[in-house]
Amino acid sequence: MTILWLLAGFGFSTLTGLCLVGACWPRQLPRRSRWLAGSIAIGLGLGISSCSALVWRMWFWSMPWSFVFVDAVLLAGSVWLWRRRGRSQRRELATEPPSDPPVRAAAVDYALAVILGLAIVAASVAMVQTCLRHPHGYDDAWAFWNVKAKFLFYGQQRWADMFSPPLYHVDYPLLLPLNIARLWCYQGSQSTQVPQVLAMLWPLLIVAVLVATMAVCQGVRSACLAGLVLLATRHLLTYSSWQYADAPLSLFMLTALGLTSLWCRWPQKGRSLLVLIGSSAGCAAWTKNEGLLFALVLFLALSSVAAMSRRPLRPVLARYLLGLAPFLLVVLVMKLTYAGSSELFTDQTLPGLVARCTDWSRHHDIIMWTVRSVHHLPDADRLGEVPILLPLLMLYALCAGITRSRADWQATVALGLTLLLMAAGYYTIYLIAHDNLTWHLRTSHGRLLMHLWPSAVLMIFMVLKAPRSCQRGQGSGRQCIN
Amino acid sequence: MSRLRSTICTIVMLLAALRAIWLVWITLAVSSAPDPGPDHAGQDAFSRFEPLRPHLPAEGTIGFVAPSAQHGQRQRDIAQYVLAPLVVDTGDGHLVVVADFSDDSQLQLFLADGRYQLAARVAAGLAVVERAGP
Repeated sequence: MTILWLLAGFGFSTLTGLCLVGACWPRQLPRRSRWLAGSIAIGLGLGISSCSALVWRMWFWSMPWSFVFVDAVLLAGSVWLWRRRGRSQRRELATEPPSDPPVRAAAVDYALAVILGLAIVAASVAMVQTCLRHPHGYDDAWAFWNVKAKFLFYGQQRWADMFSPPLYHVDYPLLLPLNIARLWCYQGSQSTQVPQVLAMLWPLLIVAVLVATMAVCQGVRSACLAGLVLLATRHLLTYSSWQYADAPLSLFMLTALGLTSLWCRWPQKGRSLLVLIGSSAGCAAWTKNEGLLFALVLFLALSSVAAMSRRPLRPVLARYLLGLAPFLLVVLVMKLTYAGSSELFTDQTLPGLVARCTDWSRHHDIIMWTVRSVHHLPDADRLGEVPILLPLLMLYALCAGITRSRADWQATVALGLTLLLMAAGYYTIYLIAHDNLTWHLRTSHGRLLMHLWPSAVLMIFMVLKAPRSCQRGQGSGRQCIN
Repeated sequence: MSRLRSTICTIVMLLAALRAIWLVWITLAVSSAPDPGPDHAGQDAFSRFEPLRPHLPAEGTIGFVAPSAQHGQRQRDIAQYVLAPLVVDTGDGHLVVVADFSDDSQLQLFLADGRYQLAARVAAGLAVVERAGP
């Protein structure tokens, strides 16, 4: 019975996500893009439901079963939006050309898909084992995230005590704790299973979004390979199994950038994707403070791509902000009403900032950590393994060659610019934040790189030609035949 | 793309696939081995603080004292997680305080000055104490 209630909690968020993604999803996109719509709907649904959970926590928590009522109202609103948008899309479709014809997959593609499936199963088993060994999660999980979920679940009038100074990072956004608390409400009790299930869900969604995006843009072969490269990144599985919030942040960043790739490919048909791009960036901002930087950086990247391709800037940014606004509003309410000040920026003085910025040993340390982490990130770990994935990727790049598609290059520019600006933002934070830089780098560097790695894999495979799988098609995009 | 390059691409793909599966297999092996990390000790500590709950208020702020600052900070963090939605503050400047010592003799030493009186002892060295008098 408890599991049924838990499934109901997931069901509400997933259906809400499906309806809202369905309302914004252009029907003119290829049929296989629906897999992508489905995979992003689960993550976005959890993001949106966490906002409704905050509304419940602020105003309706004392009423019995009010969490179900709030979720039901949100779902009803989403269904209404989906049906309304569906009617207008059907009218538009009458004048639009038919979507791309279905494609046939070759035996190699099936073989790769099976191998990918096996890798996913193996990764899932590995994550289950890690979760069972650390039922409360690793240090940051129980000290920062799960403890806040307990305040939200158990706390009566004084739930906002979780923003009191004895607790750490009182300015962190609440997507993850609210989702955990919301699902505990459905389950009827606090348990370690809910954070564990969520922890295992995020990396699977990351792989699903990456594979689905690549399948739409470059074909099944590149999609499977990109998925395998990501699954070969042990840190992704480790940080996720430890119940850190870096995995959902990574998911929402990848979702936003994957949708940006689709928008670059179908700028006219995919106009409404910009709303979803904004929503994904909003979810990232609602997950961790780094997501706020991401939302700003993506705004700049979209502006650059729109200017580069001579598209009107105002409608592009208006749609992006439309998707971003609800989440930004929730973040602002949380930050202005409850949250304490950020530890990174308290006690900062101008002379102190100047001293840190002109301390060349800090620059040296950050660069050296970055070089070492990038070298070891994809596959090597403490076992002293030789990192072979990067050389393998380079060999693949040499053989596959660089794409000549204008749309792919635009997507690559958007992705590359976003990743570059994010890296510059992280660099600046390291430079100005803590006096104890070595501790700061040691405890966070790998996680920050993990935010960017799935999107970097997307960019790498976006810029490379798909092996013997693509040919020029009609319209702005290529039609992939595998 | 030439046939040779295509073949190399396919080989690279298969190598990547093998690499992925091998790494996941290694992860399995690592995760089934004993964990020497500091977190492992923490798992037992979670259950250590659970019996305190019936002796503490439902909400509000309590204090936390421990013999050493470094050990005490980690123990306070664990207590904060276990006892939430109570706020667990470092130090003894509160009406109700959790005293976490390694054994009962240290606990008795803490109570000896008469500022606090024992409310409930739940394990060796671990107790809820209350401020004595005004």
